[in-house]
Amino acid sequence: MFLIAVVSVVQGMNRYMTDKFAGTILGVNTFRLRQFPDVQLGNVTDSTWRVWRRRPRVTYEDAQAVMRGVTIPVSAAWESSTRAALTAGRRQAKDVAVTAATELYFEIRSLGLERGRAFTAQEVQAGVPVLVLGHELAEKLFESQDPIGREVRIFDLPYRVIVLSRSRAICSGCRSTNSRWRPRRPP
Amino acid sequence: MVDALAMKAHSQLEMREAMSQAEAVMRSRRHLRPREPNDFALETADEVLDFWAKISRVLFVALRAWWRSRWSWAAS
Repeated sequence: MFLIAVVSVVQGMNRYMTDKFAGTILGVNTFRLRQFPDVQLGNVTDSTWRVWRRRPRVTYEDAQAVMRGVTIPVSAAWESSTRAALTAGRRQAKDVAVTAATELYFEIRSLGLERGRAFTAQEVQAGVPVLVLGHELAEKLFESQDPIGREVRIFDLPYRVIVLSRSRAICSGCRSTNSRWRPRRPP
Repeated sequence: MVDALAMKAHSQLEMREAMSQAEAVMRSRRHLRPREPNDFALETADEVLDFWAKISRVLFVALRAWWRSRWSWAAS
């Protein structure tokens, strides 16, 4: 009886790891092109890190070339992340992970949207500054008020909240003075 | 610059095919010779799942051994 329970628990954990954990982190049937691996398992030596850091970064031109060169039908999205302070009126959330992304990011990462809508391709193309706000952040910035349609400032630039998600802040049309994080238009 | 370009295929097989096409494009753009390693990463959930598979195997064996030791102790 106990052995059956153990098998069930291990199988349940396997299902969770496959469908939820690995699927959410990297996506199911999904691969990512990066400068170096985002998920590192096991020991990564200092010398390996140094080699990785010296690699050229992935550019928009690289991403465009790959999207043109892949003939298999795929959904593609690019992303770029930074940490920033989010301000709404007098309230502020500091050191928040903010991701700039294109419209298919949500589908690829299987990110749940609680309320509202995701970006459209037109908004991404036009660089419309819209923001998907995580539930906890919304509570911190707006307390009991409805955040959808309200303004949040990132790097002192205004973004309109269009949807609440279970995860962090994700924006379209992002731009900043930080040269690492300026993905206004999709490749 | 982009941190990552994510591509999702309909199946594992198509993902592998798309990955090798992406690898070929990137190697060509970076002018890498056949013996040179990639200077970029193409990552999938496989590494995470392989790692988890090892953990779950160890976990299962450990729990089974623990259950057997308890059972033999109770029987004696």
